[in-house]
This record gives sequence, C-alpha cells and structure tokens, in this order.
Amino acid sequence: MTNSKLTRLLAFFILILAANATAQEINITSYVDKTKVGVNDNFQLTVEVSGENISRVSDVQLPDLEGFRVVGTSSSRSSSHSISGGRMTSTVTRSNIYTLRPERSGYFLIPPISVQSRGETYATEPIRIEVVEGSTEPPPPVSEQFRQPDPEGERLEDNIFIVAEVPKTKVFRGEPLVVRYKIYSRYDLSNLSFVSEPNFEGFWKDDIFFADRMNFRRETYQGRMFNAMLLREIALYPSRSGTLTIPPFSIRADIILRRRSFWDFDSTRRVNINSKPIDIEVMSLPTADVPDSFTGAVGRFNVDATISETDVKVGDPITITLNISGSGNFQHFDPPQLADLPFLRILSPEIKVESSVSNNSVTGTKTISYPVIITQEGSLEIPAVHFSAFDTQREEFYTVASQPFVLEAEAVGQPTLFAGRRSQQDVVIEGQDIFYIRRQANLKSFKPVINNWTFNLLWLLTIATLPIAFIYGKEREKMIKDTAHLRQKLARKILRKYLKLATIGAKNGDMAFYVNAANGLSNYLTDTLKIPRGSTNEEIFENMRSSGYPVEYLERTRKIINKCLEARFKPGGFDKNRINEDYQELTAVISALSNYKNGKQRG
Amino acid sequence: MRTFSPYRHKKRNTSVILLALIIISGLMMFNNHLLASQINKESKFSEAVSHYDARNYDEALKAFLSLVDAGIESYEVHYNIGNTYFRLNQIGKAIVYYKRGLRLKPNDYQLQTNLDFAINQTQDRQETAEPNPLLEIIFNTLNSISLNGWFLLSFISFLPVIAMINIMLIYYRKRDKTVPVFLLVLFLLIFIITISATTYRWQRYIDSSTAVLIASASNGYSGPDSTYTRLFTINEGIVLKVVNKNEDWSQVGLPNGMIGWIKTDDFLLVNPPSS
Repeated sequence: MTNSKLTRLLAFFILILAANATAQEINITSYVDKTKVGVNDNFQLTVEVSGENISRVSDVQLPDLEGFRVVGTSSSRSSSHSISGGRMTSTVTRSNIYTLRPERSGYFLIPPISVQSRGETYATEPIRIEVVEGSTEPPPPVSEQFRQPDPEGERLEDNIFIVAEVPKTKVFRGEPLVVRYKIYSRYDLSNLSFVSEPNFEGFWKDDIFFADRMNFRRETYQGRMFNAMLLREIALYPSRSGTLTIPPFSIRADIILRRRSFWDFDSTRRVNINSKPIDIEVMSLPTADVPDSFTGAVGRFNVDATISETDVKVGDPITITLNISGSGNFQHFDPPQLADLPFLRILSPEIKVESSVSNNSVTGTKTISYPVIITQEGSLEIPAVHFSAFDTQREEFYTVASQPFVLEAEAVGQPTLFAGRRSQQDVVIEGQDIFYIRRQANLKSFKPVINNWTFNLLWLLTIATLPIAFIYGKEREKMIKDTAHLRQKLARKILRKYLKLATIGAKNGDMAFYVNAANGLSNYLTDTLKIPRGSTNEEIFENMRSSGYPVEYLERTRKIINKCLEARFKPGGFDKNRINEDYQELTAVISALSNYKNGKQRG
Repeated sequence: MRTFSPYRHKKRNTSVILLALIIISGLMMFNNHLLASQINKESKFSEAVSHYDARNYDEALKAFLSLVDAGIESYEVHYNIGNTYFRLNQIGKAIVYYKRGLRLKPNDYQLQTNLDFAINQTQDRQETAEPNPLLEIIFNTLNSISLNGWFLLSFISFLPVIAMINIMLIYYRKRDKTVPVFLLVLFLLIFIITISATTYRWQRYIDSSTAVLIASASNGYSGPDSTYTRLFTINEGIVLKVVNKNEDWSQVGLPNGMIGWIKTDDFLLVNPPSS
C-alpha cells in the first residue's frame, strides 16, 4: 500500500520535471559582421542556436541566399552552467559560421533561418545587406607588430610628433576651447619630460589633465599605426578678440635604440619635439542688444535658485543659493547681483565652481550662496534673479531667470532658546562709528591738588619733623650716655613713689611706713649723690657731707633713718603713736632735701 | 633700659595719630567744592544731552560749551563736545576736545577709541607707533590712577621715608644702622618711583605745546609770513607740536618731523582749554 503510494508520488515528480524540460526555450539568432560590404569582400554570417537541451533541435539549414555564395562553413559548440534557485541549468550554444561572398552589387536580404524542435519552428529575423562596388576594408597592414624605424635613417618628424587637437579654430571671446596635446610615436620611448610651460598669451587657462606617467595606446593617425598618448588637456578662454596663437608645446623624449646584434647594447637618443602653433580666430561678442544682467558668461546655462528658509525672523541670516549649470566659462564671469532691496542686507557671497570637460566642452555648476539678513517684518518678495549669457551656437544673448520667493518675516520677540548648539559664525562688522556721548557727568571741575596750599603745607609739616627728631635724638643720646644723670633726674620721682606708700602706711599706722620711708630716702640719696644703690648709710652720709649738704639736714636725715631702722629691727622700737610724729618729720626733711641738688640749694 | 619703655610707647602712639590726621585732612581737601551753581550746571548738561539725542547738534554744542565757559573742566563734558563736533563734521575740533578729555582722564577707553576713530578720518597720515607691550603695561598703570591720586600716593610714600629718617635720628645714633638704612633705601626707591610717575603725569597735564589743526587746510612756510617759501600743506585734524607761538604766525612741528610756520588761527591748543 505505502509502496504503491510512493511510486505514484515519484511518478508525479518525474512528470513535472519532464514538463519542465519540454517547456525549455530554444533561442535562435543570426548576425553578420557587417551590413555594408564590397563586391570583392567576404563577410561572415553566424547562426546561433542555444538552449538547455538542443540535441533534439534539427540542424540549421541555410535557405537559398540570393546574391551570395557560401565560400566556407564552420561550426562550434559551447556550454555554460549556472546555478540559480538551487537548480543547475546548463545552456548549450551551437554556432554555425558561414563565410559569404556577394555575387553582385545591390541591396540583398538574408531570409529568416529556421530550426525545428519537437514540432515547433523557431526562426531568425531577416538581415539586410548592402553590397557596393569595390572594397570597404582598408588595405590590411603589413604586419600587426610594426617594425621599429631607424631614427638615423628615416625622417624623425614623420615618426614622432606632437599634435595639438582643437575642436574648432574660430571661437567667441570667453568661449571655452579645449586643447588636447597628444604625442604620436613609432619608437619605443623611455623618458618623457616637459620642457617649459608655454605662454598662453591672450587666454585664461584651466588645466584639466597633465600626464604624470607613460600610458601609450595603439592608434592610427593618417592611415599609419602609432603609439599615442595624451600629454595634456587644457581649457582656454580667450580674453581678447583677434587672432590668437596657441603656442607650441615642447617635450623632451629619449628614444630607445634596440640593439642590432647580440653583442650590442640598447642605447637612447634624446630628442626635443614641438607641436605646431595653431592660430585661433577670436570673435568679439556683439555689442548690440547686450542685456543689463550680462556679466561675461559665454555658453549655455540654466539658472536655479533655492532659499534656506521662507519663514524667518527679522535679523536672522538666511541663504539664497543660485545654481548656474550648463556648459561654458564658469570661472570667468561675475556672479549675478541680487536686487538691492530695502528689507534685505546682502553680505558677500560664497562661490563654488565644479566643472569637468567632456566632449570638448566645459560643463559644470557654479554655486553662489548669498547670505542675507532680513531687516523688516511682513510678507516680503524677493524677485527673480536674471542671468544673461551669450550663446555661441545661435550667436545671440539670452537671459534666464530663477523663480521669485515670498518670505514671511516675523518680528523678533523673546529670544528663542535653541536646544543643542547651532553652527557659529564670525560676527560681521556692518559699520563703524564713535561711541555715544555720556549722559552722566561729574561736573566738579578738576583741580590739581598741587595748587592746594594745605596739601603743600602737609609736605612742609612732614619735613619739619626732621629738626625736631634731630634735637630730641640728641637729648636722648645724652641721657643714655649718662645713666647717673638720668637717675638723678628721676630720683625725686622715685622718692615721691615711696613717700606715697609711706603716707598710706602712716595713715594705717603700720610698719610699712618705716620700710618705705627708709627705702625711699636711701634710693633718693644714692641717686642724687650718684653713688651705687645699696650703699651703707655711713657711705651716704659721708657723701652728703662731702657734697656740701648743711649739717643740720644731715643730722635730721640720719635721725629719721635711724628711727626707721629702730622701728623695723629693735624690739619694742615700733610705736603706733609715734608714726604721725615721724611722718611730719620725714616730710619736713624731704622738702628740705629737695631744695638741694648735688648739695647746692636750688635757685 | 626697661624703665624707658612707657616713654617709647607714648611717642609711637602720638606719631601714628599725627600721621592719620595728616592723611585724613589731606583727603578732606579734595572734597572742597562749590555747590552754589551745581544744580544749574546739571540741568544745562542734561539739556545738552537731550539736544544731542534729538540730533540737534548745534544746540547741544552751545549748551556743552557754555559749561566749559563756566569754568568746568570735566572729561565727560569734553568727550561729549568732541562727539558733537564729530557729528557736525568738524574733525579737528573733535580731536582737540577728545585730547582735552584725555588730558584729564588718560585711561578712558571711549575717549581713546573715539580719538583714534576721528584721527583715522583725517586726510594726513599720522603714524601711531606700534606700542611695546612692556611700556604699554607701564603706561596703563600710570594712567589708571588720577593725577591727584598720584600726588597723594607720592605724599603717602614720602611718609615712611621721613619716618625712617626720624627713627634713625632718634634711636639709631650710635648703633648698627644696617636694617634702618636698608629700609630707608627701599622706601626711598618707592618714593622715587611714585614721584617720577607723578612728574610724568604732571608734565602731560601741563603740556601746552600740543595743538590740532582746525582749519580745513593750512600752508606751512619757512618763516612767519606767506611770502616765505611754502614747505607743506596740512589738513584738518593733524596733531601738531607748537614750538613758538606768536600772535599771527606760529612755528609748529608735524608728526613726521617737519617744522614750519602756520597761521595761529588755524590751530587750537589742547591746553589751555578754551573754546
């Protein structure tokens, strides 16, 4: 049961495959190598049959050909394999090539050629052949590999030369002229170098191509085979009218001389080759009917304008871009001017030119970007830009215009905050002026302080401190030099200090009175007598006597000092009731002593 | 020695107080001004400003000049007069007034810029030497302080010199003077610097040789009369150095070094400032 089912399934697939195979296309084509032949020329007719399985296709049977005779046949077979969609297909092509020779001149028709396959007929298209008298083919070259001529024997300029190719010799002023310098040589060359730059007087020049390495190709020139190479291609724009000369182009070449025998070496010979100068007649542009917008453009141009934004804010910069495309002298005309409009400030435009040479003409695009600033709000119209050029074919001026724009300019309110960074531009200086006046002024008059007498007095006052300091310093020096003198000067002060303490002691009626009285008197006397402190009482009295103090005071002093010593050191010598009495005596003695200085009575 | 300390303290205290008193009284002196016609002048000034704003330059000029005639020497007024003359297309007088303003305030950016702008508008080329960056810094410092500020500064820097000498006279009579002499030299250096700066500024202030041509063109002759050989022709706005000023003819030097006699009426001196 399963088995029979499987066989049935298999049989189904085989059927599909078979159906596929039968559905395979058969192609038959026929072609000739030329449709115009001379009576004496042979030509070939090829009939190709291709398909996946062409073994069952019948052989090609040439029908009766009127006016031709079959002079030879050959056939070939080729096959190609390709895998697509997981299935391999192999195509077999069978070609039958018949060499035919016309019998007479005239127009003849090769009728359709047909083949049979599984009962189907496939046929080719008929081919029309023109047979002319004579031969259409050039005489066959002597040899494909031409013989190296002998530079010594033959004329050099016949075998190596430079040709300046110009498409025409009569141009309008400003019209681009493409010049191609080609070198033709029948020698082997080893080294090419440009001698000097020709002086293209009267032309603007654009370099297009400059050969930087040897790149020779086989080429026939005036019926002879040469090695040819493009040396240089330039576009010239005549800048004045009249007869201008394309100067000769010079090149230095080394010709390789092949060795003639086994024992020879290759050698080179250096030659200079020049192209012939070519005279070009340059016609000036007509002076009549020159449009206002003509700026020197020559050629065929189209103009197209775009604007970066149509909804703008006042003060924002926008860009108007003018695209001039076509063929002509792109580099050599001024960009058209945008109309001067009160609401528009036009900044200097940015110009970009892209050009190339094809078919002996300069084609390209000139892009002019005008940055403009809108200075007014409202609905504004920027009119079309007119661009004029001279058409060299029709020899007349023509004007093309871009489309106008309508702008909606909005007044600037609050500054808009932009997310992210905007592209930055340099701030353009649009005008220069002086600074504005000051609205605030300090109207006090400037008076130099040097004219002020108080200021000058300050200087004098400062300087006046110098003599004061000088005198004071001198005084002070004296004091420092004589410490005893100083002590003497200060003695009364110190005595006064002790007397103060003694007075307090007297009021309180305690021992402090005697202590201070003794110390004060002792210090005062030693200082005034200029003897060391801590001298004994006897020494003090001795000095007092020799200094000439009156004996009366000397005795009183001795008495009071002794009283003090008694009160301090003798048991029972201190009597509270006597303090007041002793104080009276002390002040009397001191006031008496203070009337003397160095033993002499003060004046 | 110890016993003298109370005396020294007392002396130092009094000298500090004296110094402070001197400085304060010095500062007070700058504020003595006349308030009498102040309000009148203020109103005159704002009137002139509103005339200027109304593009009424002739009226504005009249009002500004009346302030100058009233004896006001203020750089703002000079600056405004310069601007007004500039608007009236009298470049020469504009330059004079800008220079008068700069005489009072040499570091004012707007004054300097407007002066440069006005000088650029003149016909004769007046070379302005490319400034040395170091000198530039020095002059900027010199100009950043007012003339009276410099006077005060030189006085203040004079005080430590005198104080140092006083200290030396009193306390360093018979002692090693290395430290005080060093300090004195230092103070003296500072004083010399400030007094030189003050002198420079003072010289600039009292300079009365700079003048500007206010006639649209003037011929220079080799002597004080037009019958002498004609030496040059100068145009309005050229800055001159007056060598010899006389009643009718004055000898002037040009920025390029040429010297000749031109009519005294053809130029205006920057100092003294009189219209």
